[in-house]
Amino acid sequence: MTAPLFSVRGACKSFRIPGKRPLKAVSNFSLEVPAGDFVSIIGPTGCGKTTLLHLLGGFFPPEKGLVLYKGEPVAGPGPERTVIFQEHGLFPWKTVLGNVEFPIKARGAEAGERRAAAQKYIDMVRLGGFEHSYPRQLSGGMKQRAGIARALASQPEAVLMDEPFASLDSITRDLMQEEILKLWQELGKTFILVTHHIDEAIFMSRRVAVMSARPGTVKEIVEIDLPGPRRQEVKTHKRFAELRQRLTLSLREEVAKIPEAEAARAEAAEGDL
Amino acid sequence: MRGLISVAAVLGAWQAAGMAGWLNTQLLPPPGDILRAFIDLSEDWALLGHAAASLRRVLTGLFYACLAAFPLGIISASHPRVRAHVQPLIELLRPIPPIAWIPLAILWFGIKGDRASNFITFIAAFFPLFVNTFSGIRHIEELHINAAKSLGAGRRMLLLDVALPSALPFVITGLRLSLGFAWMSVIAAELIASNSGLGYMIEINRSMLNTAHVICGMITIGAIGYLMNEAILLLERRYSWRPLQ
Repeated sequence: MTAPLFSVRGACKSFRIPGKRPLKAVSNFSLEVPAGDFVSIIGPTGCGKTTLLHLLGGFFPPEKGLVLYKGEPVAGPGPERTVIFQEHGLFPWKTVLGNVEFPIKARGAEAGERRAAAQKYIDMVRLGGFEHSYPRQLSGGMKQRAGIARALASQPEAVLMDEPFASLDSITRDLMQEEILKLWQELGKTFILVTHHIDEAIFMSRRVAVMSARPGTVKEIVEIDLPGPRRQEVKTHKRFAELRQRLTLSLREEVAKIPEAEAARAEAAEGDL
Repeated sequence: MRGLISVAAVLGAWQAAGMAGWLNTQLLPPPGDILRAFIDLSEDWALLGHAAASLRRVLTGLFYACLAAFPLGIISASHPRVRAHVQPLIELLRPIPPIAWIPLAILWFGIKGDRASNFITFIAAFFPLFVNTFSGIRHIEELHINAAKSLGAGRRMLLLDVALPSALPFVITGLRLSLGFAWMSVIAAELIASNSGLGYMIEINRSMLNTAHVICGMITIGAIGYLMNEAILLLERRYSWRPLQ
């Protein structure tokens, strides 16, 4: 058995809020993610899901515990663990092509090869014909697709997604989920998805990690034993309904633990990061 | 269209009042006289020469202001230690209007040549450029920095592909303000501390009671200021990724 791609062991991270005691976002969090896995992390609002993803991305180190990537502590952000952000994070001053070329340029490719390399990823997310559009000229779904193309262009081993479909309408959301799944099957990379959408987590993942209320820790890990390859029809499967019921109850228990004011505060704090 | 009609009406009334002898044409010459002054000033390229002298001073001051303000703005926005030293100095000097520097400029550089005026336009252009470059860099979204880092960007790409283009809309606004301030200040400087330029030209004509020539100079100053502003707005529309309000 090879070492897991990600190994989080007892990680803790808290945030200082001026004039208040530090807010513990993630506490004693442990999770192993083998290469090629698709893991979703669900949890109540403000449970530290985004914090966890930023730990994996390397935007800050844990205060206690370890965040290992291929057995080595994560030292900072890098293209092998690229992040797809909720607000896509496209550079508004660059065209779709410019955005997708960015990681290719970052790894030192000559100007001549960039175009062809970027085109491959633009075609992969079906944005051909929009190479020279600016992000503000694209619809929400197209922006998110451009964000995905850009992330894939960095040739990551792992793709970390922070609620990437949150701002999309439900039809676009379904389509994007299928597209990501197709990419996952084709590319064989590791995907970690943070979401508060239970159906999305079940539909997309092999495993779903449920986080407890803040300070977030792993409450349970549920294997998603659904037949593949997955299409929307699987959502009407009896097993899908059972898993949804199980995860809903599990999540409700955690939501019930947070007083509302607390949740709002935690969410505000996390939003500031 | 309506604007043109009202301008024409005012000019017509003004001309008529002048011809009817209701005006002291020594103090307020009618439009016809001003037009004659324009022709008179254009004949020996005097107007053009003075305008070129003023413009050259503005552009020289702006050039040096860019050289100083861009690096200083970028460094003090991205390094808290430098900011702690630079910001108090800037905040002390910034409230002094550029024209209040004119007497000092005369003492330092004399009236002959361009140096006093160049210095004044430098002062006028520096502060808006610095302040806007500074806030442009400070306003970079953390999301974009994080995205760039997680896509593998090094320091060079963070500066050239993220920080600078992100700050560009602010910088262009700074450029527009700087050009406006520098243009106003160069006229003031030339009124006192020069022997060429549009400011000097209207002052010399005032002393000779050539009121029409004074007004002619004022119109030229306004027209050039307007054109410069429009030129930068064009630049803004072309290169600003932030949609204009």
